[in-house]
Amino acid sequence: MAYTLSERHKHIQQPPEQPPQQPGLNLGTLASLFFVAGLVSLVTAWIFSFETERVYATKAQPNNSGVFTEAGPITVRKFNEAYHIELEAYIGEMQWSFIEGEVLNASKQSLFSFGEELWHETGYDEGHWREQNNAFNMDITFPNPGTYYIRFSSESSQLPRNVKIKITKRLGSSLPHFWFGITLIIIGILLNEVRNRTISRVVGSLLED
Amino acid sequence: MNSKKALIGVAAVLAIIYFSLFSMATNGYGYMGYHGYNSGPSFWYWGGTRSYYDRSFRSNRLNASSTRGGGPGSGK
Repeated sequence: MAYTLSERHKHIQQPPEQPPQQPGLNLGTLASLFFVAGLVSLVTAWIFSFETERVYATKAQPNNSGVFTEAGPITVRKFNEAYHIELEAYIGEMQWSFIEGEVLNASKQSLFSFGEELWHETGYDEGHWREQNNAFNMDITFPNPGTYYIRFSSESSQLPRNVKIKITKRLGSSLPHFWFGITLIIIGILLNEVRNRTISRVVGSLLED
Repeated sequence: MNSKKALIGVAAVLAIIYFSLFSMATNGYGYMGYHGYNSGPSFWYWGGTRSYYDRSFRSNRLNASSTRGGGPGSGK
């Protein structure tokens, strides 16, 4: 059957195809819901990492005997209190220092240790470079109330000039809400992609350019 | 209408999960010590340093590392 001129014109003027509307759930709205819920969860995770109490802060000078300071007493009043330990050392050029913290209970019995090798290197190839790792941190949950200590010791190629240690009590663990938030945002991105193909379009246009 | 109900249902499920996570968060979930001192931090925990369950990682190994040195070339 032959088309008349006006009918052919109608076909040419048709707007570009829109993605089909879902009869049930609106995927665009659902994607927005997951995004917002994910962001709320990430903000909650951030709030849980807030410091509620500064328990201990010092600037210590390591010596040759190994143990250079003992932090505490750390008084844990409730079950499962979360604490954050930050350590930063001044390491001289081309030197290293392994710094260890040993967590002790009230009768000074060892519970566990944590530590890291800190280092500072410099060199010259196609220009001067400098790389260093001079800090680490650790999160601890004390499962039981009581008194605890953390004994810090070091082994070094050359003793660090000073070591800054800070122990703070945290509101809680940020892990549950952080990972929940990340999961929701990933689901939101996937739903938005199914509905609107935003990433595919952007990638496609970048490849065309 | 069905779409709206479904959205409310999904939002309710997300809210239930969100609020149930508060119990884990306030109990310090995932950090070293949460599951006892012999099991280490959770798989989901990252960013912290390494932990050891023995008395001291380098006890009885005096000067064990002094010949090795540190830095990116460590162990080469």
